[in-house]
Amino acid sequence: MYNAHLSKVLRKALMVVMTGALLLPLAGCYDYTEPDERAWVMAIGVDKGRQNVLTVTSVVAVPKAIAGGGGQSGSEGGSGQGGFFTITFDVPTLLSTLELINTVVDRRVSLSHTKWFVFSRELAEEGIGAYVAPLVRFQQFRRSSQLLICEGRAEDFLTKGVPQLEDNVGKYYELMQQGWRYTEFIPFDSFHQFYYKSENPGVNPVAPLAARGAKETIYTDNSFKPKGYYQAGRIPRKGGSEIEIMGGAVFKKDRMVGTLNGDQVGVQKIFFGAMKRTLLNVPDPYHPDKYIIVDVLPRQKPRVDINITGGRPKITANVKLEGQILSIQSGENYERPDRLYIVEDAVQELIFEDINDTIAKSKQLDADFLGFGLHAQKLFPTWPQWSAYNWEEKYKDADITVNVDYKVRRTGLVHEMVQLR
Amino acid sequence: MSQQKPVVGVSEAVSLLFIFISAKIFLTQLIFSIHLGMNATWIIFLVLIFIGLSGVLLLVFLLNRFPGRDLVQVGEELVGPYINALFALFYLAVFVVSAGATLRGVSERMVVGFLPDTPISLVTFSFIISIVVVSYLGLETVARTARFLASLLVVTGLGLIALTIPLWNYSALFPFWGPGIPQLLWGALENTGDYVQILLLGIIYPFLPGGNGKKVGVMAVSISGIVMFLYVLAPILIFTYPTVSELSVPSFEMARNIYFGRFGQRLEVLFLPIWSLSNMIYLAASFYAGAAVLTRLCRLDDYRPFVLSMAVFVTVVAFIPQNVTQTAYWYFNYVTRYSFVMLIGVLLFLLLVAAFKARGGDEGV
Repeated sequence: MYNAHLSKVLRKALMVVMTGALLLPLAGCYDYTEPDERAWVMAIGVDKGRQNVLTVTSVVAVPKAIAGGGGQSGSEGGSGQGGFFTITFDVPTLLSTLELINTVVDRRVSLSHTKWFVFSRELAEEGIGAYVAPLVRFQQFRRSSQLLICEGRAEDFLTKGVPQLEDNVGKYYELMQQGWRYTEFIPFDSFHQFYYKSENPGVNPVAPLAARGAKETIYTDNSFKPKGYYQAGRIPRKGGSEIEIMGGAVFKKDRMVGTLNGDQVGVQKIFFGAMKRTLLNVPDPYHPDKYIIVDVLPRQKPRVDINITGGRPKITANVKLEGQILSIQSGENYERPDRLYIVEDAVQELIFEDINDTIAKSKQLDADFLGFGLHAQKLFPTWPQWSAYNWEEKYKDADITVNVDYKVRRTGLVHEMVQLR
Repeated sequence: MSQQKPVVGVSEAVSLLFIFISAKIFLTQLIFSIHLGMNATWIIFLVLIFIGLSGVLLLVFLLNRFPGRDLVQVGEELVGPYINALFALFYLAVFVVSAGATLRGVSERMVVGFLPDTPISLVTFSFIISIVVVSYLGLETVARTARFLASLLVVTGLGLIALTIPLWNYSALFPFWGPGIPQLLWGALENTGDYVQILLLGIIYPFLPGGNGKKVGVMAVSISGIVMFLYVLAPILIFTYPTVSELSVPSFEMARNIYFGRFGQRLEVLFLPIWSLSNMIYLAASFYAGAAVLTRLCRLDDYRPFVLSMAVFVTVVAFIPQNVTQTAYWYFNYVTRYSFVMLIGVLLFLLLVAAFKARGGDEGV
């Protein structure tokens, strides 16, 4: 009786001890850290080194400034650079920076909130595979971050890239990255898409192209240029943030082989179903100096049919779009049902030209960034057969036909415009 | 086996067996099947469902001939204690080696993914303590814990997959047959060990409600098969082949990739339970099953002293590999490749002996 009671008590005591032991590590004694003892790197810029292999610039957030603490204006807090300070090291490898920063910064540095990895064009053209590959293994790195290619030095790009609307530089980078939703000129690919496209034989990746705004005049005449004609570093503007993102950097394997302007990026996004909406300035067929302004959004994802005859791919792409008339500068009455086709035909012709121009660019770069290969691989029953076909070699000989179908669905807030007198 | 005969309901047994079979999808082992099946690895996992079901039916066919007995007792009755000791050691090896690899794998995952500064010994110790407590309390506790957490795991697991749908690339399914049909079938044969965990059914069989063994086995294998199929298909669609073959734990990368704007990201902590709890239940069941086999082998009545022995065995096995890569490779080479075939061999041998001795003819299914 006594033994049974003792055994029960011992059992309970053992359970309490074991449960207590279980709770101990939950406090995270080793990985315990206070948020205000961390320094969060929001962006990393990588350039060819001056005193070592690489020059790596880290943008470190200043939380005090972001929170607008101490009565200071947030954007003027910290170092007075918009809630962040930058620090640049010449290092042998990208991740070496992480340890070196802690020789300068008091808080333990973490990449787990890093939004941007910016590589200079100079480095990208030599190949960035050796710098990107270690990142995907690194515990603090996230594939949802963004890889950008910048004209000029990434160091200058990040140092001067002070947000205008935000106190939080991380929010600024993230909202800039999400710009792909609102403009066709920014590629939608995050690091995740960029990385898997780099390894997939049926497609080539496109990274957003960024630059510091141009100081000098770029275009010497005022002739009509489509708005998508521009790309980062060549946008005629004054004011706004120091940095801009427009266009794309096309990669083959790990090397940048060329750039795309805004319109070409838009076409790339159409083919990946990532284009949300764009405005188009269409030359008026009956008034050559005037424009019809329409908005364009996808009606469905493009249908791409591929046949391979005699080893040569024959691609037919059917692009279906719709939208509304936003403005008719000439005041011509195109809104009547029997005349809408005039607008539709004009839009189709313009988009057709854009798509063909982009296809020509992809052939010129010999890089299938439109992802036709992803459709071609459906024709092959097995992966070895698909690999043996060698799409990368065959793409430049592909015969590509494009059909564009645009339908006007709405005419905005005006039903039929009255001519000016 | 202990002072009281445990009682395990059908849903508890199904939950336990389902988690026991499918917990491995949250570890690195999955990647070896992708090396074999490329972008069509999901076909391998569909084929494996039928292989797993065949194994369950064979096991139940044997056990139904000897009501109220588990696989170790059936073996002893059919082939005697000496030959059966070899079979029992094989069962024990499956439980110990699998649990060792799982303990190491899940601890390494915790260190790499969540607790980079914590020594792996502490992480492992935390797992061991909780697992020993649960398995020491017996099969009922293990099964009820599994039942209690199964709903949470299924909802969280399916939620994780659903949240990744915007990242799916359907072109990743092509070329449809991946490496080719013969290679896929070979891949299925190489991965049959994914279902060797049906062995647990052979250990807990006497404690199931009468006549429900087949139902439990078939349901558990079917649910596990579907879950494993989804957890192979989703990473292929998200990361596409060949990138998916690089990942050490695809489900972890899936969770890290979820992005729904500024506030809908960094969600992997929400899914932490599916990695930790599923493997803790797996380990608790392994500890119990290993202890039960040892109890039968030693002809003792109480499994509980062997739970601590199992903790020692499993911890030792967990730390024999020098690194996480070796752990994954050893698990694939010794458990995934051969263990199921060996189990089927044992079952067929026992059935042959049973037929030879003309035992249990009236009690068959």
